[in-house]
Formats: sequence, C-alpha cells, structure tokens
Amino acid sequence: MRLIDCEVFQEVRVVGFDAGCRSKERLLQLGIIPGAILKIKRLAPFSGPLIVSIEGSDVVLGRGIAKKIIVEKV
Amino acid sequence: MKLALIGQPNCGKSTIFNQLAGYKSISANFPGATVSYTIGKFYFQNKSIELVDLPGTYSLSWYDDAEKESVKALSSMDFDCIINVLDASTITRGLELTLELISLNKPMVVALNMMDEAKKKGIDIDIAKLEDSIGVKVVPVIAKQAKGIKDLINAALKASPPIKKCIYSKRIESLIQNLEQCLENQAGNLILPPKLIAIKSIEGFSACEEIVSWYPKCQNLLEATRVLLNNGVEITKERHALCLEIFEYSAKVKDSQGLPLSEKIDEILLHPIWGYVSLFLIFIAIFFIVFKGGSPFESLIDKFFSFTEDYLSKNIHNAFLLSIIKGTVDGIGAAIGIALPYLVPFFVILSVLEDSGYLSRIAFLMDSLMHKIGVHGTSVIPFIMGYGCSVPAVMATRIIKGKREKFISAFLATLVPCAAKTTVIMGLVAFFIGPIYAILLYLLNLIVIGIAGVILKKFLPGINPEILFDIPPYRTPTIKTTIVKTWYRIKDFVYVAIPLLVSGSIVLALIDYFNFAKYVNFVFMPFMELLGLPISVGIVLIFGIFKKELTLLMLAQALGLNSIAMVSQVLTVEQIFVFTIFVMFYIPCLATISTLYREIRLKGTIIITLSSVLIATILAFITHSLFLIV
Repeated sequence: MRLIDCEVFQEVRVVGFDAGCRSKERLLQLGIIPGAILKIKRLAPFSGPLIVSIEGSDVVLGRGIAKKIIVEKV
Repeated sequence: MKLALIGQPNCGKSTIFNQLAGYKSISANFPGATVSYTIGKFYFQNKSIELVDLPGTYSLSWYDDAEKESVKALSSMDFDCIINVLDASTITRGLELTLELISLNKPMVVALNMMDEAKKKGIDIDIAKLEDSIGVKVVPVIAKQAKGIKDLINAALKASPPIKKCIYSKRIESLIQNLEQCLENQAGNLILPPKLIAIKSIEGFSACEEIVSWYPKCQNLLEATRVLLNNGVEITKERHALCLEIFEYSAKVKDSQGLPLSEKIDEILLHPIWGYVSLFLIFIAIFFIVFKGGSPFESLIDKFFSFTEDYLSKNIHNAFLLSIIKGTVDGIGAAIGIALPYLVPFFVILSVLEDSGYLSRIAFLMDSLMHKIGVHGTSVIPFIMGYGCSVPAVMATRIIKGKREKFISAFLATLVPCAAKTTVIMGLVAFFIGPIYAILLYLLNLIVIGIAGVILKKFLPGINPEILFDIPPYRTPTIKTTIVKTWYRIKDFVYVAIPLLVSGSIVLALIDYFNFAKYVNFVFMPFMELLGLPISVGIVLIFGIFKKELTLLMLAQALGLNSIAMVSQVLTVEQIFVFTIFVMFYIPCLATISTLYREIRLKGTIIITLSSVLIATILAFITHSLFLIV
C-alpha cells in the first residue's frame, strides 16, 4: 500500500521507498524512516500536499512523494 | 573563545543568539529563517566570547544550500565548543543530529530549548537521565524568556568532548571504524572528520561518497560495507532506534487532554474552504492596515517638510547651494515621510506572520496554485519577504531545493514590489491618482508574476522536487521581538536609504549645474519617446539602479520642480502610470543584483536583470498605447 492511498487519521507503518524517490534523504531526516508509525492528518484541496503527523511533529509533503512511500496497516 | 550554535531548523538558535549578542540574527517561526551564519561578540565573566549562529540543519548531510553553509562552517571554523540546540518538544528527531555531532568528538553541550512547549505537549524530560544516555552536559533553557542562558554559557566554557563515543552496535561501529581508518591512512587533510565521512558515505550521502571515491582503496571498502549494511539503511535505522530508546529512557509522556489549541486553529486555518477564506481576509486586512495605517502620519510629516522647503527657498539665494541643500532635505523627507508610514505597519505585520507560524501554513495552502507557476508552496516565503526588500527575499531562496525552482523563485521574488518601489507607487499613483489605483497596480503585479511563472515553467526543462518540510507549531509573537525586529529592519532601510538619497540629490544637482543631463538624456531619448515620457526623465531611471526611492525624488528634481508634490503639474496621469509601472518592474537595484549573483550565479543574474527591463518596457509601452487609444 502507498501512503497516498491511506485514509485520513489511519495509522500506518513505513515499510520503504520507491527506487525513484529523490526526496529520500530528507524524508529520513524528518523521521519518516522504515519502521516509523505515521498518520495523514490533513489533505490540501486541488490535489495539494498532505500533512502527516510523525512522532509529535507535523510534516507537509507533496502527493508525488506520498505515492512513493510504501506503508502497511498497523 | 569561539562557540557555535547548531541545531535543527526552527529550534531557537537565533533566539538564543539574540539574547546573548544583541539582536543581529533574524529569528522567525519557520524552518530556514537563518540562511547564512551570523557572528556576534559578547562579554561573559570578563571574557570576550565569539558566538556563531549557524543555519538550521536536520543532519550533517546537507539537502539545501542553507544547510550546506552550516556544515561547511562547522568544519572550517575552529570552534572551542559546539552548543547543540535541541527542541524539547520534538526531541526524538532532534537527537539524530545530536548523535551525529557526538561523532565529531569536540567539546559540546546540549541546550534543551522550549521546555515550556514540551511541557504543554505533556513531555517531561529527566535531564540527568538524558545526560547519562548521551554523555554530554544538558542545560534546560527557555530562550524566548532568556531562562537558563547564563547556565548554558557557563557549561559551554567548561565543556569537554562527549564521554560516550561508541553509539552504534559493535558490528556497525567496527565497519565504520575500518573505513575511518582507511581514510585516515590514505588521505591527509580532509574537510570533514574521517569518521563523519565514513558514516555519511555509507549512508549514501553523495558529497561524502565523492570524497571517498578519490581514494581507490577506501572506495572498494566502502562498496563492500554498503553491501553488508543494506546500502547504509541499517545505520539510519539504528540511529533512529537509538533516539527512540534515549527518549523512552529519559522522558515521560502524559496524555494531553483533548484537542490542543493549535489543532483547533488549524481546523479553521487549514480547512479546504475556510482556510482560503481566512487567507483572503487576512490579506485584505494587511492591505488595509498598510495602506491606511500610516496616512495620518504621512500628511503630518509632509507638512513639516514642505514648510522647511519653503523656508529654505526664501532664505538661501545661491542657486547651486540651494539645490544641494534642498536635495538633502528632499532625500530625508522621502525616506521619512513617504517610506516610513507604510514600512512600519508592514514590517510589524511581516514579523507577526513570521513568528506566529502562519507563513508555513500559507505555503501548505498555496502549494497547488504555486505549482502552476513552476515553484511550490515554500516559495511563498521569499515572495512575501519580497514586499519588504528583495535582498532577504533572494537570500530566502536558499531553503528551496532544486536549481530550476530556486531560479524561478528568485526571478519572481525580484518582480515583487519591494518597500522602495512601494514608496514610488505610494508617492505617485496613490498620492496623485488615488489609492485604489495603487491597489490595482499591485494586482497587475501579481498577474505579471503569474504569467512570468507560467512562461518560465514552460521554457525551463526539468521537474521540481516536491514540497517537503515540517510545519512549525503556532507561537505567540512577543511584543519585544516584534518591536526589535521592526526597528532593525527600519533602521537598515533608513541607514542605507538616506545617504544614497542625499548623495543622489547632490550628484543630480551637480549634473544640472554643469548642464550634463542633456547628454545622458540624449542617449535615452528614443526610449522615452517610445514610452511617451518627458526626455528629462531618462537620467532618473539611471539613479533607480542604485536605489528605487531615488527615482521618486530625482523625478521632481529632474523635471525642475521644487518638490515632489508638484509633479502632477508637469506629468499627465498617463505619464505617472507609465513611469510607475516601468519603475515597478525594471532592473533590480545593485544590492539585489549582487545578492542574485551570490545565489544563482552570473548567467541567472544577467537573465533576470535583462528580462526585468524587457518586462518593464513592454508593460509601460502597453500602458502608453492604451492611453493613446482611450
């Protein structure tokens, strides 16, 4: 499952990233690393970005990035 | 004694810096407010201490130019102690950088900032346990209230290198050590400590990989190590697990009751409908305050200066001396009378926007719209700063990843009318034709920026990295910071503007006296004809390259008028519009050009400079033609 396919407020665990994910380094720095648990908090309209909550902080990421994050249900 | 402040973005480094070294570093509530390092000096217990505020970085592998600046400074300057600022409310993530800093093996202390916010979030940190698990002295501080700052400096002066050097598991640690030793044997002087290069190259950080690739022996070792450690993911995972462990050992989390206030505010301000309604209302309010807030002062100051001028022209009879003295008075009058009434409310609002945390939320809301013009939401920050001054706006593009996007952002940010250009718009269009037309010019400006963005997006190849940043919590801007920040920005403006305005006036008076203007104007004659402006305006536009307010002031002088208030006697409504529109877009001032050169190099700077003149000419010509038709 991809992060983009998740429901809002559904808790998921990060499994890995797609090979073509160029933002991987920053994702890792922001705490979105394999094994971490996160949930989508909010989606911007007009196919805008989403806010995910991870370990007490909120991270904004584009939908294209969310497509490349592989997650599983907790 | 030289101390460094380093920490993740938006953890309060600049706030600590400003508490110690006076207000020098711009602090704000969004990640990436500090984009270059600031050096400050202060005395502590009769010792002179140099403090360096470094841009925030999530880790020692940089991602954007601001972070690169930090890591470079950290390795090139010889610091006696590193002060690692850690946001207690997001401590798990912050510890990642702490663990990396520990591997530098330099004297270090941790400043655990925002203890109050952590408490609000229900996080209770046991300082002794935290110290015990990382082997570094920890000092709790609340930088905003200047609590714990003295203890922090005391600790920094006595600091020693971290006690615990081995933080990874034995297997990983020995693999790192092998590579570290290889680098030590093969290479002489490296720009970063070999251990750091070893860790970062295994994790796949390209800049460090490149260093290793210079030494074939180490390169082979690196490749083998990366296979063993699953391309370095194991290091990342282990460090993260360690951070969680430290957190669980040293902190207790109480369940906070109910929805926190910031969530409730976000529920409205980030709502798919109400979010945009609020954004619109907030901007209307800002416009209203900036346009109306200062006008009572403006007329008062204006009266004072026209009285002074009258007095001078009656009492000084030497024409040459009079024009110089009047130029001086005019220069000061333009800076104080026209600029300040709009700048003060604007800078107060800008400061509140920055410190409240709303700026980042605008970035979230505007992201999809901004994609249409080839940038993403983060570029909202340089754009909004552009209304103040183009120089910090262009510098703010450092937080933007990707060359293409950075170029587009810098290009569009220079088209935003800065405070100086606002002076011209206010002094001419708003004053002679009406405030509503000034607002229309701002709308025209937005449309032009939009069109320019669409064109740039089309003609520049490549795709943009997507938006990715952490949203700061809401914070109440303190009155003190707001006042101090506004004061410093105003001071900068006045200090730079007045000498330039005054010397500009004097130069113009000299040119006038020696009848030199006609040669300059002769060169510009065809251009002025094209735009339907008086020939004598040509020289004014040259001065605008130094500082945009000069154009307003010089205009009166070049037209042979006694004061700016008389411009409408010589220029028609059409000419005022054409002139203002031209000034609004043409050539960035020298300070901006040099900043552009620093940020996006020569080619980009030339393109932006030439395009701005082209855009200005086209728009001014269209305006001129429209008036001819109507």
